[in-house]
Amino acid sequence: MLVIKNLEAYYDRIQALKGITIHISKGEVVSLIGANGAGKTTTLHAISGLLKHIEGEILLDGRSIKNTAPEKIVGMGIAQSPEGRHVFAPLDVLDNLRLGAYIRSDRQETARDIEWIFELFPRLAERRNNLAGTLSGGEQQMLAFGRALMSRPKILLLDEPSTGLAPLIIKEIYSVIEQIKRDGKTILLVEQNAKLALKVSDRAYVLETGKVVLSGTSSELVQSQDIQRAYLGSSVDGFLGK
Amino acid sequence: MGVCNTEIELMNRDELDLIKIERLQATLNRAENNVPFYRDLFSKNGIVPEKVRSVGDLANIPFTTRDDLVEHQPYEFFAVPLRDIARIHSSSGTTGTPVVVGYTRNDRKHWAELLARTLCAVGIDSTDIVQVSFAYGLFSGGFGLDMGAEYMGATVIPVSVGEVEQQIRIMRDYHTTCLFSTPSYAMQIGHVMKKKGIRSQELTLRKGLFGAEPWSEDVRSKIEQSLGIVAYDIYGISEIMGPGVAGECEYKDGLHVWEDHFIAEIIDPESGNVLGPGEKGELVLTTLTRESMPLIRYKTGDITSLLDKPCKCGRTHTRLSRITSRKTDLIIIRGVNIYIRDIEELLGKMFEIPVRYQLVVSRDDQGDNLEILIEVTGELFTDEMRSYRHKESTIKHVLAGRLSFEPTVRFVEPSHFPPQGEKYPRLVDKRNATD
Repeated sequence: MLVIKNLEAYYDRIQALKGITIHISKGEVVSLIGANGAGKTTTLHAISGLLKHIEGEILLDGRSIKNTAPEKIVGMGIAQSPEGRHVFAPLDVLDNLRLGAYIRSDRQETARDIEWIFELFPRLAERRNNLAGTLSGGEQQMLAFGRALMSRPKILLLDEPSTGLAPLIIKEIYSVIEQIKRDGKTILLVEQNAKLALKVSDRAYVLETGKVVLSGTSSELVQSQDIQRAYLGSSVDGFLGK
Repeated sequence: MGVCNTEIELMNRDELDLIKIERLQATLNRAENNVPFYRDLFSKNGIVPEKVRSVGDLANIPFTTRDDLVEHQPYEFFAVPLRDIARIHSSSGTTGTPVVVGYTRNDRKHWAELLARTLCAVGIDSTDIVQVSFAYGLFSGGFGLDMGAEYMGATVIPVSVGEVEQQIRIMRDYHTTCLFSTPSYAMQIGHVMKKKGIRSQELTLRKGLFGAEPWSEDVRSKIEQSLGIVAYDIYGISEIMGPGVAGECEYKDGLHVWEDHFIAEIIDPESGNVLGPGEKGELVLTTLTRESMPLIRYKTGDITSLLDKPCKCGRTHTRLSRITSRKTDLIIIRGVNIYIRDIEELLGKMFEIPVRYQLVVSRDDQGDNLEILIEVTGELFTDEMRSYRHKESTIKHVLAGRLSFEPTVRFVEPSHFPPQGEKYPRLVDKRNATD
């Protein structure tokens, strides 16, 4: 469904992506894992059309979406839930969600979808009339997530949904990811927390300094001792001490 | 017949090609990061792995040879720390010094799954009783096929190699339905059955999977007749994984290379140029999923060609034509080319029973010499002395015509060879050692 071939991205003169090739098939949850600065978020931004200096190919259902304006890309069915809870602080929760559906015109459907989001995130329902700026970090993350879902995307891009959040909130957010995965949504997930990402995704790519160094099914990667050492924080030497 | 992994084996070419380039890029990046040999190779040759944008770009990367592996024994080709290696095998050393091959847990899983694909493809399933008569040990054949058969749910009898009579006894008593062995061992088994008057109908054998040495269609039909089975070819090379790199399907029309795990190229062994579909040359393999020991453009020494037409079975993975020789099968003695299989054919004609032999090439002041060692089993002993002499002189005579000098023929005790069924070098070339 989404194919990225030899993608290179630059911030000024610094090359953040050095030719990565990845794909996401319909109904799959794919995660990009790697350390800070590996190029994970850059990849999402490139897909969303937020970067100017990119080379390579980005194909959605065989059609190139490279150099397409971000709002058009949303129209084509790709929505990104940004890291750092970029919500519209002066607007209330409902309006934030309605904004997510700006590409759609059917108000009834929009209302139905808002109810669906409230089912997924009961906390947001309780705070439907609160200004987004007054929400906690976790709630803002949920709102950003919900807003991305409001465009009914073919592919949902999730950027670091766990960053800076309390364990309980993370659990809630991930249970929603599980739920929409079961509904058959296609998701590209970027996570520094590899353990979480590998738990929820079908496959994953490991990025290092702008390059893919490993890929495979998540169950395989969890088994890989390389991954365990570098990203899962567990050590195979541990048992020797016990 | 069944397909083990429908999604992958029947995947459309575009998707398969995409997976190949994805995995190739990751392999090159990992090799550069983790294997000093490749880091040096790339930097010396100005190769920037991230500039490899298509499978075709591989052609710019130098080959990896067996000599490279030999030079970096035992562990320098490993891309993971030794503690991540779950198992070590070593190449059989048919053509020289054995080299160590490591597997991580994931490598072993992939290995089992790839073998299961081939078992499925030839119609072996969980109801089968599989007799694994490949050597168990450092050689990857026995344990590899054992693992593949178990993965697929079959009942496994790990007989390994040894006395042929025992193989037949087990086959009969335990109702074996599938035999896995080298083709020459299967020939031996067929021969002993005939000698003992055991008809194939008395057995429950129905299929066999044979590999680890080149074998001809003629050998295939002999095995099929003598054992009353359908015989399939399976290909592998220890350095790359072991058996299971490629295998036949029910149509016996070439061996499917599992392209989601390996890239196969055919090159001109002399110039190193990549050859097109249908052209015969040396097989070069690149691993795509190997965690322990990624190998890039590894020269296998096996001579074959790629069949790019779709197979009737529906699998989209490309096929190798049957490997009938290895590059090292060609011996040049006193400037004359001769293939080992030509000598093998001659011996096959001279002796009606399968005989084991070894060719020893050496050099002295007179030039190159060829000695043909032929195993004398009990059966040959009963032969008349005169017929011996006759065979010896015929062999000498026929080969002298080809070689322009007379080779030596020597009959040797079975103890000169390893146990029946085990691989051994058909050719010992002592010339380089004395140079």
